[in-house]
Amino acid sequence: MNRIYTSIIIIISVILIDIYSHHVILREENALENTLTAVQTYSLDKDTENALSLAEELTEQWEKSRKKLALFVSDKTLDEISDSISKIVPLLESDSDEVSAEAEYVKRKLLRTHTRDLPEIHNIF
Amino acid sequence: MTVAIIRTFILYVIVIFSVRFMGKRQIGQMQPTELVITILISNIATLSLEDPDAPLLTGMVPILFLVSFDVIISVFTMKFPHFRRFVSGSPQIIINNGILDKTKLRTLRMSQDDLVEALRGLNIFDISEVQFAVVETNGQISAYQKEPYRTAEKRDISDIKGKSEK
Repeated sequence: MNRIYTSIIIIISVILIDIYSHHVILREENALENTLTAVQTYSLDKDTENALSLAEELTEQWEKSRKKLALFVSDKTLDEISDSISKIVPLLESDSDEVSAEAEYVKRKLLRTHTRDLPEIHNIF
Repeated sequence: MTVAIIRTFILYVIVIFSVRFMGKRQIGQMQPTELVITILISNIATLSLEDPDAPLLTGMVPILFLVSFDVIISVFTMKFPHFRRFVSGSPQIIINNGILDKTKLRTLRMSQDDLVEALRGLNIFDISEVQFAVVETNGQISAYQKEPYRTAEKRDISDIKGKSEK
């Protein structure tokens, strides 16, 4: 009987870990998305100073988020997001038009990280 | 390399725990579900070891879930015979009173050569000597010989002794 109780506890723990992972990914995704949107807005308004300051804040924020997400998301995906975020500051400094595109790419990548794990038919099959 | 070593050690502990938790038998004695779980566990552990980019949880969670699920299924198979038959199948009698049931053999997709080979492993060299032969759910063959061909047991010797004393 001990084995069956242990099995039930393990299954419940697995489900709780799954829910927690969704929660963490969603929380970090939302926080990063807000910062990215703010950077995009400042960039489109040609307010380079604020955009740069937020972009640097984004980089620090990402470093912290990355550590939390590393438990649940593959390093390959995190590296791709890191590469994109690291491009934002140089793009802002060079006054490039690609800042918005890069920010959108990061947002999509973050969204995909979360939605890929949802129990939907197209994800399962 | 250090990370690879640590990951290997953690997965090793998880797999050992899983195998002990399920109470494994030797490969030849496993039920179909147990064989499937064993193969899955080894493959999942290998994937986690081979891909250092994948989070360790993506290896550990499926293994622990499979093991727990298997234990729960095994409890159900113990309590519900119909469920057991659905999951593991049922033993099939293929020789009855020395006569081979070729239809059953075809259903099991087993050749006569396979059967005879298995019987030879049980020191039976003639099908006509067999009272019953059963193909178990794990694929093994059990055979019960007719009385004249069976090895003498203590009670047989006691019977003979009893008769001779009379």
